[in-house]
Amino acid sequence: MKALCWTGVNETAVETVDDPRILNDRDIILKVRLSTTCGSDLHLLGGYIPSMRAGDVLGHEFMGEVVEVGAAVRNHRVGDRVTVCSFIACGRCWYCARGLFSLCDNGNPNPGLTDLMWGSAIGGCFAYSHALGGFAGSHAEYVRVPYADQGAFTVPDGVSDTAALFASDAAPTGWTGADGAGITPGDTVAVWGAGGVGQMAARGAMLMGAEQVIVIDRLPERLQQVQRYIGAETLDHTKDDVVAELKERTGGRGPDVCIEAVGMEARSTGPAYLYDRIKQQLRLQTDRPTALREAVYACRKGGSLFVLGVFGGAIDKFPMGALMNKALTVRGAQQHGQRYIPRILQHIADGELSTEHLATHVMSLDDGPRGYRMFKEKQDGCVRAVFRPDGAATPAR
Amino acid sequence: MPQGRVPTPLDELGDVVEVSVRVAAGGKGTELRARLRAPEPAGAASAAARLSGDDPRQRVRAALREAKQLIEVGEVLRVDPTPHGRRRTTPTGAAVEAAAERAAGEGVL
Repeated sequence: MKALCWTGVNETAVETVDDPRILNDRDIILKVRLSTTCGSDLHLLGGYIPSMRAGDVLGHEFMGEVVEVGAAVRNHRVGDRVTVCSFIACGRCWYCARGLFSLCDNGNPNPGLTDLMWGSAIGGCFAYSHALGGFAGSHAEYVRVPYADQGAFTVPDGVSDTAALFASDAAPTGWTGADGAGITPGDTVAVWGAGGVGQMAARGAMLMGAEQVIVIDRLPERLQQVQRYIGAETLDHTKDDVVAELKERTGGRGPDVCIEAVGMEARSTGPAYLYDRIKQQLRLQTDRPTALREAVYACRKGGSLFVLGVFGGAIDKFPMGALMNKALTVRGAQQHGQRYIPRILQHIADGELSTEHLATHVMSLDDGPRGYRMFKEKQDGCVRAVFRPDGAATPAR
Repeated sequence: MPQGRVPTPLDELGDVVEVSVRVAAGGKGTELRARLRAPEPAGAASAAARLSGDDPRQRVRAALREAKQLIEVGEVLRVDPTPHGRRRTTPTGAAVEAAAERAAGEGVL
């Protein structure tokens, strides 16, 4: 089959690879209908996450049609249209039983790598390096989905393929942050990053009762999407002092809840950003935490901060004094999608959640390398480049 | 021990390990423990054993993890063979491959 592979730092290529096959009784094989780029892929692409191998098939956010079913699969049959959680979780271990699916004990066949790196292994993830299992990704004609009864969800009639695509990762990641941050009705929530995940976190926060939601970014097309499709306020960090403006809009308190949806390659201006870039390039720190620092500084006393942006290793100049003295609660997580995807699909079906607008550039899988370049460089207002393995392309919105 | 016997595949290690079971604190399930009877490699020998992939601790960790999966899920999750494109031979690629090959048996404990 055809697949888009990582071939080296900032290089991808469409190659012919073996078809996937059922390896466990709980697997299904999916014919991929749509598979999207995600901001977290850029960390893999740029070589910031070690343990990628040339030839690894990319893509972890996808939907498609079931074409083969393992002997122990109960919830799906051939022909089902499903969206699949990017994290691979057994549904049976202590963590899964508590809804903490991305922490699954059994979903990562290479647990030693993250066990040594972070002190404990987390679950597996499609196409997120060999440290998260070495599973082949979805930028391909077919993909194998392990633990399909847990991770694949039938898309209701009336929800389009494109809308369902983002119920795979962007939306449940946003929901993980909004829910995990402990939003209570009436809260003010600030979200750093107006990419797919940031937008979904903002909408999730609103549906969970937040009264005021402010999304921070620098790209006008993304901030326009926030206003138009999410219904949240926006803040351009290249035009305003973020912390002062957040204080201004909250009567001097700061946001009750801060959600960081940027991660290890944050962009900013000024000397601190230059410092972070140099340290990261010299590998003196693995991650650039610009947005994270700002969120700690902006958060109100006793407030809550949730880290959704992907970090891989060590950061520098973390404002520990602010965190401790302001009595902040800080949490983070990869997505627990198995817990949120059904309600997200329902929100989409009910017209309460817009996701299709994220697919600004839909193209054939053959155009994958061009799609990643556009997405990485934010060319032509690209929010997400989406691939159709069946070859059909639709014009950019 | 459940049904009075050591769970598979830990049982295949025979007398190499001492296996015990106890109820975990706070209702966090059951602790299945396996400890090498022979002394563990230490110092330079430890690093050499881990790098060579011939460390007895790696066999024990892998067996414990598989036993846990068989008990909780009923099967051991596989990833290979997985579809992939052309694998170029590079030093970093070789390092990732070696690390992944040992990853089922590596860990903190």
